[in-house]
Amino acid sequence: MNASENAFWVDRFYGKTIVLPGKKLAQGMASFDSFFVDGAVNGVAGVVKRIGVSLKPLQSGYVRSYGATFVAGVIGLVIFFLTRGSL
Amino acid sequence: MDFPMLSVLILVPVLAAVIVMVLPANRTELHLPVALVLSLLPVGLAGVLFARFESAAGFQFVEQAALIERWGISWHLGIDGIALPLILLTTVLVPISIAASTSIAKSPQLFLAMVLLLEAGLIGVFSALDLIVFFVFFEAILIPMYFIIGIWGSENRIYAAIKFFLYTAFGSALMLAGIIALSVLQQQKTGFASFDYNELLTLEIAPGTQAWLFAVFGIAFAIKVPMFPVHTWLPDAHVQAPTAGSVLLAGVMLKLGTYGFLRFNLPLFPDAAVKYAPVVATLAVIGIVYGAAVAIVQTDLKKLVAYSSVSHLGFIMLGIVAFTQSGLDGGVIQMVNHGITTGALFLLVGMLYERRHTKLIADFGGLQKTMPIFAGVFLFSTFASIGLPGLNGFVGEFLVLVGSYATRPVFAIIATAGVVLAAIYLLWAYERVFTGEPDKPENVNVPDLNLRETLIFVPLIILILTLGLYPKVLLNRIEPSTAAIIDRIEATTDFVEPTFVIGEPSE
Repeated sequence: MNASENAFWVDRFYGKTIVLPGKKLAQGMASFDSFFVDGAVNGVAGVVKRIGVSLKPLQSGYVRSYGATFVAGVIGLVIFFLTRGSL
Repeated sequence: MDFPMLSVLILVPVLAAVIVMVLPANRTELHLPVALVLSLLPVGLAGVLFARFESAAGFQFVEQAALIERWGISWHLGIDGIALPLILLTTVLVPISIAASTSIAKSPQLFLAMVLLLEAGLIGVFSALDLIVFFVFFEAILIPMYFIIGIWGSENRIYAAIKFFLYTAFGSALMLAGIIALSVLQQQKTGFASFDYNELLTLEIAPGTQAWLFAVFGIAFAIKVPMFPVHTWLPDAHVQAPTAGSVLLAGVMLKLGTYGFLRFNLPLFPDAAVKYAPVVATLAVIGIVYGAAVAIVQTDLKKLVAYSSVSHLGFIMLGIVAFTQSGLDGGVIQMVNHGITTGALFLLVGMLYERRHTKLIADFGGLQKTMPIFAGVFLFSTFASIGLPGLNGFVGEFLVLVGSYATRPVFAIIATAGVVLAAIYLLWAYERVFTGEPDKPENVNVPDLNLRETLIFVPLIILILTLGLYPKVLLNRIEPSTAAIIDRIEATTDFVEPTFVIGEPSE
C-alpha cells in the first residue's frame, strides 16, 4: 500500500540518482567556467597589465632619463659592433 | 547599372542616425518614434531584396566600384542565400530593439544613433564581397556596441565592454594578418593584388598554408560565435548590455562568427576545413552540452539566456562542419531562429527587469497569476527555443542533427543531449519564475505587458510560427548557396557528402 502511494519511489529514485548528481555536475561546470576558463582569460589580461605597470617607470617624463637611456643604447651598440667586428 | 540596393540599405540607417542626432535635444518625445519609423525603411528594402531574390547559387544584387585600384580593393557588395536571411533578421530586430528601448534615460538620441549605426555595420558585413570592406565593417561594428554596453549597461558595464572589445579585437587582428597573407598569395600567383572574394576563391592554396589561414580566420570567428573555450566574454557582455544591446548582440552579432565560417573558412580553405572539421565539431559539441549545463545552474535569468546561446550556437557550428546539405541548411536557418527566439527571451527578461529591477530567478515566483500575457509569450518563446515541433527551433535543430549524423553520428548523438538540457534549463526557469502562487509581496502587483510591449512580440511570434510551419520560404533561398559550398569542398578535396538522406533526395 505504502509503495503504491509513493509511486514505488520511482521519482525519489530518479531524484537521488539523476537529478541531484546532474545538478552537482552542472554546478561544477559553472564553477569551472568562472574560475578556470574565465580565470585564464582574466589571468592573461592581468599579466599584460602587470608588464605594462612594470614598464611604466621608463616613461618618467624626465628628458635627462631619456637622454641617459639614449646614451646607454649608443654605448651598447658601439660595443656590439666593435666586438662583432673583432670576431 | 542597376539600382544599388545594398549600398542604399547600408546608407539608410546611417542617414537615420544622423537625422536622429540633429533632432532638437529637448523634444525627447520625438526621438524614439522618429528612430523607429526610420528603422522601418530598411525592413521595406530588405523585403524587396527577399522578394526579388532568385533561388539560385551565386551572388545577387552585385555592385562593384574600385576604391584603391593599386591594392585591388573595391566596394564590392552582393548577397547569396546565406547572407539574405541574416540581413532580413538584422532589419527586423532593429526596430524591435528600438521599440523596446523606452526606458533609456541617458542621452537617448545618442543611443538610438548607435543602434542605427550598428545596423548599417551589420548589413555591411553580410553584403561585403571584398575582404578589406568586410574587415572594416567587422571592426566598425565593435564601436557602437562598445558604447551601447559601456554607456547604457548595468553596474559592471565598463568591465564587460572592455572585455568584449579586447576579445574580439584580438581575433580580428589575427584575421587581418590572414587577409593580408591571402592578398600576398594572390599577388605571387597572378601578379596583381586583390582583396576580392571571387578573385581569392580561384586561388589554389597549399594545404599547409590553408591550415594556418583556417586557424587565424577560425579563431577570429570562433570568438564571435562564441565557441568553447573563448566564450567567456558573452555572459558578461549580455548581462551588462541594455535590452536592445543584448537582442542585437545575440540576435545578429554572434552570427558574424558562424557566417564567417560559411563565407570564408569553408570555401577558401576547403582542404583545411575537411582536415580540422573534427576539431571544430568537438568544440561545438562541448559548447552544446557545457553551455546548457552551465545554464541550468544560473541564478540570473539573463545569464541563463546568455549561456543558452553558447549551447545553441554550438548546434549551428556542428551543422556547418557536417558538410552535408541538411547540416548547412540547418545551420543557416538556425542562425535566424536563434536570433528570433533568443531576441524574444532577452526582450522579456528586459521588460521584467524594468518592472522589478532584478533579474534573479529567486526574486520571482507565481508571475503567471499577475502577468498572464507575459507568461504566455515567455512560454511560447521557451518552446520555440527548446525546439518544439511546429515552432522554428525544431526545424533548425532537426536539420542540424540529421545532417551531422550522416558525417559524425557520435557527435550528433551527444548533441541531442543538448535538446534535452535546453528543456531542463528553460522549463525549470519558467517553473521558478511563473508557476505557483506569488509568495513575495513585490510579485503580487506586477503590471502585465502593455499594448506597445505586446505589439513588439507580434512580428516575432509570426516569424516563429511561419518558420516552424513553412521553413521552405527560407530554405528555398538558402539551399542553392549551401549546396555550392559542399560542391566546392567535394571538387577540391577527396571529401564526399554522405548519401544518407531523409525524405526525397535533393538531386
